[in-house]
Amino acid sequence: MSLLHEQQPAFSVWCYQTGAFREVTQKDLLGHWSLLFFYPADFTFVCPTELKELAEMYPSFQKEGCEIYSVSEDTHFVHKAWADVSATIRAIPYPMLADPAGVLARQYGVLDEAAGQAYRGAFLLNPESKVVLYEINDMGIGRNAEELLRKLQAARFVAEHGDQVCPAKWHPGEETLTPSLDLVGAL
Amino acid sequence: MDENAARSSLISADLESRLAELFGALKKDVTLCCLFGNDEKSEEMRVFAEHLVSLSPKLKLNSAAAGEKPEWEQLFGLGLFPATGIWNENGFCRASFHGVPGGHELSSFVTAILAAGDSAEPLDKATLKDIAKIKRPISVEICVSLGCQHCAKLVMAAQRIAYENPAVSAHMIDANLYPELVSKYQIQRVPVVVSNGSVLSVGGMTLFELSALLRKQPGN
Repeated sequence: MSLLHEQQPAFSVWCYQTGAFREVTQKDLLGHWSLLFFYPADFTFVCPTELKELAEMYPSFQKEGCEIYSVSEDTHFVHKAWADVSATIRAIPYPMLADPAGVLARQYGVLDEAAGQAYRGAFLLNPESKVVLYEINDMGIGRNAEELLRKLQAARFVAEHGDQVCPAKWHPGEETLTPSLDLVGAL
Repeated sequence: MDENAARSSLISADLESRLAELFGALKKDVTLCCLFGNDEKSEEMRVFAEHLVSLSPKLKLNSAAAGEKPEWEQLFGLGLFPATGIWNENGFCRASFHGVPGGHELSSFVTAILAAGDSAEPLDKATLKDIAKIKRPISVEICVSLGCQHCAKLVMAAQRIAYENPAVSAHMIDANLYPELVSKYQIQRVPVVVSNGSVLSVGGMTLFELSALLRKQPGN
C-alpha cells in the first residue's frame, strides 16, 4: 500500500539536538517541509556516513524550507551518548528523534520487528504534513542526500506551479524527436 | 506535391497526408524564412522545410546563410541557428522557431503557419481586447524541450498573442540545442519564458494567463 498523500498521524517523541533534549510532536512538522530520515541504530558505521552527508547539506535543505529529522529506535539518551563520543554526530545540526517504542517506524512501515530497528526510509512531508515522496532501502543500502535535495526541490516546484511543467533532461547532440501532431483546441 | 522535393525522415507518409490536408485550408500564402548556420541541425531544418513547403502551393521557402540577411537576424534571428520566421503577405508574423520543430513542437509550427495563412479559428472579442492591452513592445522567448506537451501549448498561445498584437513577438527555442541558454537561465524544467534577458515564468500557461502576465510587465 502506498503511503503517498498520507497525513502524519499524531505522535510525541523526544529528540536530541545539539546538546539538548526536547519533545517533538506532529504539530512541529506543520508549516514547513520535513524530511524524516530513518536509520537502523546509533553506533553503527554506515549510518554516520549518511547522517554526516545530510548534516553537510543541511543549509541547502533549510534554504528550501525543509527541516530534517533523523529517526532511529534508540532513546534520546543513546543519541546523546553517541554524540558524546563521536565528533561527527556532535556536529549534526538537525533534531535526532528517538523512537524506542517504534511509533514512527510503524506508522511509516519501516520497522523490522524482529531486530527492533528501522529500515533506511526517507519520507518527505509537505507543509501540511502529507507524504509527497519516499524511499525505503534495506539495511545495507545507503541513500543519497544530494538526490533527496533534488527531489525536495522538484516537490516544492510542483507544489508551487502545479503539474504544468516537464523536467528537462538535456542531452546535447540528441536526435530530433519524431514529430507528433496534436491540434485539438489549438486552431 | 513536388515529387522531386527533399524528403525529411521526420515526416512519415501518414503525417505527410495529414499536413497536406491541413495546409489545404491555407487562405493566404505563407513563407518560411530560414536562417541556416553551418551545422547539422541547420541542414536537418533545410530538408524539413523543403519537404513541408512541397506539400502545398501556398507554402514558400526563402532561406539565407548566417550573415546574409541582417534584417531577418534582427527580427527573429536571436543569434541562434537554425532560425525560421513565419511570414505572410503582410510581412513577418512575429513568430519564429529556433531548432527543428520536431516532437510536440510540430503542432505549434503548423499552428503558426495556419494562423499566418488566415486559417486559424478567430478568438473571441474579450480575449482579443485583453491581448490588445499589451502596449509595450515585448519579445517573448519560450525555451522548450521537444518532448514537453506543456511547452507546445505555451508556444501556440504566445505566437497567437503575437499574431494578434503587433507589439508582441514570440520565439520558440529548443533549449537542448543551446546549452549556453540552459546554463544562463539555469533551466531545469520547461517551458521557461524569457524576455529581455530575464526569466518571466516557468511552467505551462493558458493564452489567457500568458496575456495577463504580459500585460503586467513593467512599462505596459
